[in-house]
Amino acid sequence: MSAATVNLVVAMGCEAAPLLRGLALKSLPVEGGFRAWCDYARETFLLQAGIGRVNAAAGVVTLQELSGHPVCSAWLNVGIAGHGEEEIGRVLVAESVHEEAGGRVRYPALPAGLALATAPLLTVDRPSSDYRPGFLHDMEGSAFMATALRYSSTELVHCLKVVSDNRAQPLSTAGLSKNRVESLLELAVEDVVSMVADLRVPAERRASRLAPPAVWQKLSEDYACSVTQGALLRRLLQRWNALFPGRELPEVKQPASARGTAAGELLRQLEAGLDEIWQRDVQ
Amino acid sequence: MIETIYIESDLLEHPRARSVMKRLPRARVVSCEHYGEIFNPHGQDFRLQKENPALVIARKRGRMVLPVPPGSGIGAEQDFYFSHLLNCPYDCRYCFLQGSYNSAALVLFINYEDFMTAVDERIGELTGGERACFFSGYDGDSLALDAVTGFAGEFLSFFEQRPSAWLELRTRSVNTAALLAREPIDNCVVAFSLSPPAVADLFDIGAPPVRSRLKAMAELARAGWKLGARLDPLLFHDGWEQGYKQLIEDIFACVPTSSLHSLSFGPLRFPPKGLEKMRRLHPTDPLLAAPTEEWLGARVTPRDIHEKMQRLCLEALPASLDQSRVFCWPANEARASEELPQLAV
Repeated sequence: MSAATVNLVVAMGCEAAPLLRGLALKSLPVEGGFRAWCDYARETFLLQAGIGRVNAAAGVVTLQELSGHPVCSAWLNVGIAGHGEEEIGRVLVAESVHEEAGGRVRYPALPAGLALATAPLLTVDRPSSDYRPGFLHDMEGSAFMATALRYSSTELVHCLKVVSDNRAQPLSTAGLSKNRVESLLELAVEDVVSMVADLRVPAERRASRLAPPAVWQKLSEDYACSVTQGALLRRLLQRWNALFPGRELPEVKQPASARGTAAGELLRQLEAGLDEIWQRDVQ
Repeated sequence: MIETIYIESDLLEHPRARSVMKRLPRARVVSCEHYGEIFNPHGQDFRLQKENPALVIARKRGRMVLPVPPGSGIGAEQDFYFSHLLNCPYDCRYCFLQGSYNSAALVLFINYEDFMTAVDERIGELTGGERACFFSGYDGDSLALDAVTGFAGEFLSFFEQRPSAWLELRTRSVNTAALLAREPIDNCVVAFSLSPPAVADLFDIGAPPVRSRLKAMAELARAGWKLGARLDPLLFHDGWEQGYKQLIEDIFACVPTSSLHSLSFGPLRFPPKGLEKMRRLHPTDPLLAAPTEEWLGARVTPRDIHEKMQRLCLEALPASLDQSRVFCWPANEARASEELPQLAV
């Protein structure tokens, strides 16, 4: 599995189809009524979650599992949205994501050099032609964002929308057939491909920073570290590598039986060794 | 370059906000209700944001002026700080701000008049010829964004009328245009944070080179401004002895002692939780990975190492420098309160 993936979530198959071609994705077996795809390197995943907030949230959780719980994942919700004033076919990125039902607002940290225009996004539970001025309107964005942020950070979770209806051509007259939606998404493929590439760079940097040192897994298993001890061990090993790159860890002596666990003794000896060697080196 | 400006919606028509936005015409403007919606949430990656920080224009509410932590003064009887800016456009590897906030966005509080009212209240509390120093660069660099914020010009005019109060502008920048464009005032210290160039090149990421800062100091001295030199933190590194000796020599080659209001030293120090967060942000950085000791509630460079560095710096100062202008963290009174050995400065 890749340490950093870019995961896309769409609501409908007709939204997915142009993206599968643009990103060269192949089908993946998946349970739970979803459909999913990934690229050959398993670095880009796409999942068709269904319409609405519940489906979007469940889709994110499923995709996180399917992509193998990478160290870092970037997330992109792609789909159609209404907008009172913008012209149909316009591609916009959400600058803020508002939930009509809960009132919560989230502000994605927009990527550096983003060339696309932005707009606030309002997630509603029912399709409507009652457009809030200036806002994009969809049915998934807020739940997608709230759930994806559990696995990633605010710089790496975004919503990209194609305007499908507006005040001049509201939902009732926009004629949003599958073919029509697919052709609207075709207009966004280039932007999606570009944004996937742009998100992968910071995701990989974050993954590289968050990845544990090479020996961490083995040591934490050998010494049966608890979760807290594992986190302490990871930080100590990172400090060791930063201060003494390439130098072998000090030999850990057998713990004195009455003085706590082997893992506790490992941590104590590592910290003492780190302090002692550093002090010796700087004298 | 700032690409995104978030602004509290009730400030959209504020003249100072409009002026800031005019100076950043290419930035996208996103309105919000309260700056905390952007600045406070968890789940933000400080490192990624630091590569492209947004600007948040906000109104400061609550306590506007606060007492400084003990031991950080530069000679006044009372010391306070106020922060028109949270965070800094530079990316100094040892900066404690990255361990303090969830976001790397630059928050600019534009209600300068409310800060001024709070400063006046503090001045009104002074008794019997007491002086107060107001530090403006605690939560951000005082001058780094001055071309956008206009902070220096407005506060210099304000402090000019209040001789019992000092303003310290603390900076790593060379944005001195607002100062050079006007007559100097007696109660302002323009304090430059400095490290030996070899180590500043490594750790003061995005900040002007030390030689540029020294040049800016020389220009300000010629124009009649009072200056501060802040060798705080003292950074332990290979060749520190020669590095700090040379730096002190360079400072006094650029700045006549008569222009130097104060020179201060301090150890590399962090709030304990902040240090852990900073180590997570920079897991491969040896400066942050190095052992520390607890001292006055902070995690600090081991005392023996720091005191060795400080001793060398004190010995390198010119004999003509009045010792009362030299300040070491923690100041003697703070040490006394902790029953620590007194510093012989």
